[in-house]
Amino acid sequence: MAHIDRINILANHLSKEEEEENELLTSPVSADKKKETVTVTDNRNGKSYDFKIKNDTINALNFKELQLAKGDGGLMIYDPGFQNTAVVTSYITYIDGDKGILRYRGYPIEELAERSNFLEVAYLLINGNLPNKSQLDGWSNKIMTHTFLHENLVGLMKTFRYDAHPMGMLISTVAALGTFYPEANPALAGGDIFKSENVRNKQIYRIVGKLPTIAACAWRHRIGRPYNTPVNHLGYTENFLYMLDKLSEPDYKPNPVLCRALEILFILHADHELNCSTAAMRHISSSGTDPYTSVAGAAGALYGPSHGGANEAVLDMLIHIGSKENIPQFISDVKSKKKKLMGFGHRIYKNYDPRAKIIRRVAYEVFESLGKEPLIEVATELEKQALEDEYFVSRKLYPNVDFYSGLIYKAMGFPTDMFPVLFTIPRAVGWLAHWVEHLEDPETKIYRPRQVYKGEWFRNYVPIDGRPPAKVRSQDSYSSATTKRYSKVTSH
Amino acid sequence: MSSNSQEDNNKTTEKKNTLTVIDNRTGKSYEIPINHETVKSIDFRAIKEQSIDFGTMIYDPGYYNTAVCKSQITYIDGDRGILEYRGYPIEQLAEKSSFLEVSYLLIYGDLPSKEQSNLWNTKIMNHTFIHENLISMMKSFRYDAHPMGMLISSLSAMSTFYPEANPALAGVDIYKNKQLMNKQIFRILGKLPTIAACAYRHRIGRPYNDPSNTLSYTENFLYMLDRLSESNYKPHPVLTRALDKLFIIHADHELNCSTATMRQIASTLVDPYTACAGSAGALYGPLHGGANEAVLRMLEAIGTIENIPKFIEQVKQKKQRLMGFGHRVYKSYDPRAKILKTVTMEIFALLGKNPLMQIATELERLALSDSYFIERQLYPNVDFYSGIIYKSMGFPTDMFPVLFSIPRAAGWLAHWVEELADPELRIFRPRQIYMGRRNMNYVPMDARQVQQHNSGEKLSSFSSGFDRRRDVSEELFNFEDGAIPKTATGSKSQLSASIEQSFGEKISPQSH
Repeated sequence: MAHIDRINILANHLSKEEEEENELLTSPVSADKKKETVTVTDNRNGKSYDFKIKNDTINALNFKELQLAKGDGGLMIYDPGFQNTAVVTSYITYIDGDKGILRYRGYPIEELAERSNFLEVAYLLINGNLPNKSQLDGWSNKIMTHTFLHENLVGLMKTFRYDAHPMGMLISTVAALGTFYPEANPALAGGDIFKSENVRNKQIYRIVGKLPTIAACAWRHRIGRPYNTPVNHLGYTENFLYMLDKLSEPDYKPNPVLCRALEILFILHADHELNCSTAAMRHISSSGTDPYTSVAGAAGALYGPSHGGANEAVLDMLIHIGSKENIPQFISDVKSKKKKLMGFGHRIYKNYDPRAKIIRRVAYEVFESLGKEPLIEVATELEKQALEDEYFVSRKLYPNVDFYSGLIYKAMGFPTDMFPVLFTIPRAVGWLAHWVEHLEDPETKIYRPRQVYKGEWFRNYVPIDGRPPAKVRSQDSYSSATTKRYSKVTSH
Repeated sequence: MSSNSQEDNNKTTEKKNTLTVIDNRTGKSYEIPINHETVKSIDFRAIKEQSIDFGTMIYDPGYYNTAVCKSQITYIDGDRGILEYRGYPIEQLAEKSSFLEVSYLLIYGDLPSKEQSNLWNTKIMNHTFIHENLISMMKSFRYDAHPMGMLISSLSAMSTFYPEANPALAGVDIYKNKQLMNKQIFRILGKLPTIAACAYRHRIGRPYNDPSNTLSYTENFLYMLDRLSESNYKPHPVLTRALDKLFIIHADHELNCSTATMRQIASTLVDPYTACAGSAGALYGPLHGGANEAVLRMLEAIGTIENIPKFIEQVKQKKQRLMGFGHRVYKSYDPRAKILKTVTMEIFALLGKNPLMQIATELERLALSDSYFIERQLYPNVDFYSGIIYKSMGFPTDMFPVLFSIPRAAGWLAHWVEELADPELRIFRPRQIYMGRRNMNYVPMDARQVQQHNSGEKLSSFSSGFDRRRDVSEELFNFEDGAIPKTATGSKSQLSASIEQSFGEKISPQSH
């Protein structure tokens, strides 16, 4: 079965290759005949314009020319959620959603997950090519030398309350990290400091190196254990699991199966084109701020339930279904729109999410080591029935990466509020790759989208004494008991 | 005005509100509707050279000409120098209103009545105290931490104090509850000045002040900044009024970089504290919140009035940049700059004239009468004056973006409320043009060559003396197999391997 999957995957990749060859063959012949333009006629006034169409895109600035009166600003593009607007040219990650293809710097995700490791993939994403042995050794040593947190930062983390959400701790701590490196702050050291590769690389090592430590400290904080210091001669994920779990053992060694599972999960989550958090990274960085502040903001976007919380929603669904016998009823509820099928479908993939295929196998390896997670049986059966059902097939709904990742994390003993943290660590590599690419892009500029103004056109200020009540929605808010007591006292 | 003329056009000419797009690669024709002077990007997806193509996208780096939402909050006409909050001209609001009243207007859409205004003020001023645990966290920063880093960190930490307001814990639909939404608005607006004041006090090594809720919003802020041992400290009313006006004009500005960040992060349905922290992060960048600081540096570099003509000449020759002039949106006088010009006069009457002010006034006068700048539509923007005012009021330059964040939070929250109520809300996910390589096959490590174009070849970074000492020491003392640094794949590092090769056998204590 596995070899058939590999053949299909390879076939998908090869078919694209053939098309490219065809393009090359036909291009010289038909170059004169093809016109890489669109002709746009404004039917409001009958005028026509020729716009270039390049890389299957039309530049938005062209539409400013479509003016009814001189100087009226022309037309704007309207795109809520930026569904169909390319905001960057990128060399990092390629996705073909219809064919289920995901590649980092051209390499298929399946090959990287099978044969590579997370730090090597990090090198590839950030620097553009796979490193050779000496380069990888240098890179790994640099990152693992930067795993320690400043003791003042450890003190800051300890000021959080016992039940603080680990993502809030992580975001706050990463933002605070920026105050420890004033030499890397454009607000202090000058707007051009990241033209220096030295300065840029240093921050990359720090962020990639320290994030697992911050995550582990957040976890230890939650369970009330002392924080562990890193062990730099362990592998990246090995050290992370060590920091999470070591108690009094003098030479604690995490389970290699779990290390490998986490390594693969990190590889899969490292980048995914311009998802919301990576776009936020580019957006915040476009104002010229430091990477710690940008990573904190990107993590904030990932923290939202519509982005990083999806695998948790899958778990909730599976728990709710409860057993295999309840699946047919659940599927029927989904079809009649009474329930939502979580972990299926993706805005980009209209085929099997290539990450989901890989992670499915990881799930079985983890469960063999740790004992079967009861929900995996529910998940497997649900997947089987959904993939055989015309309702889901016709809508191109396939399992995405969130369908299995939550199960794996749960089996590994992580509470659900740690899930977005486990997403943030590897995704930071993608954020930094885009940060570097953004800094080197000559077309880069501060992000400032436009709006369509639909509000009141012009109003004059009315002094408060002559003003009627504003027509607004409710001003109520819930009050604590303290507030209620306080208001009683002040009413005397 | 524009709407009326459009209607007139429709009546007289019966023209269609559409574009006809002919794809000259295929000869096919597409009809795309025009609404509110915009065309929908998604409508271009249908334009395909081949049926299996993804379709055509719009390309817009920096989002120069893409509207990402419909909004009813702030209107700007850059050519005419118009800025209106919910339809009210900024000049009227700055002259007659207060910051909290303007916040109400932005968030709820209308000016409050007297009763509504009193309730609103009371609600916000009751939420000025920050949790003692948060104070402990702020105190754990080092003495020279940048106040913006403290503010951003504290804002995101606040999300951990209010789990009932966190969609990740309490459910994705909690903000359908308007009461819950209001509560977070009160908290954020109420606590931000306190956080800012604590960051400032931290920097100057003074104990943090508790808020005084009987004072007005900006009055209380100045109180928390400056009170020492006085039992009934009162900030000067001219300074209070000046700061209130500054807050009013900084409250919102359509979709600037940080407000767009608010919408982007909030589109994932994250809690508002985390979203505000991300927005403050965007505002922290020198291209956004740091612009007024750049004006100050320019004025200091000019030094005296006599040096201005030479400076202007160098600007024309592109040897120097004229900071604080020009704006991506305004092609006329920034209406906020006009307001600030009068505020500067009031401040200087109280505090004494700032030498930089004389330079600024003369520079403005000369620039506005020079055809070089007139032709290029370069007028003073808000940053030209705000930095001078803040400096005169005694704020260090790294406090400037903090003073920007407090009022701008009102705009961020107004957009947050509007976005959550928008039926077209969807998670922000822009697209890319992929220009990288494809169809790469994985090469095993041993067969891999150093690529000439591999930018990471040396991975140089600056090293501290400490790092260099450690590197040298490890060569001599890590002689046990288990202690030699390993790479992520578990193999020995090149350094370790070369040591063994040179010595022919494992290093042992007897070698010394």
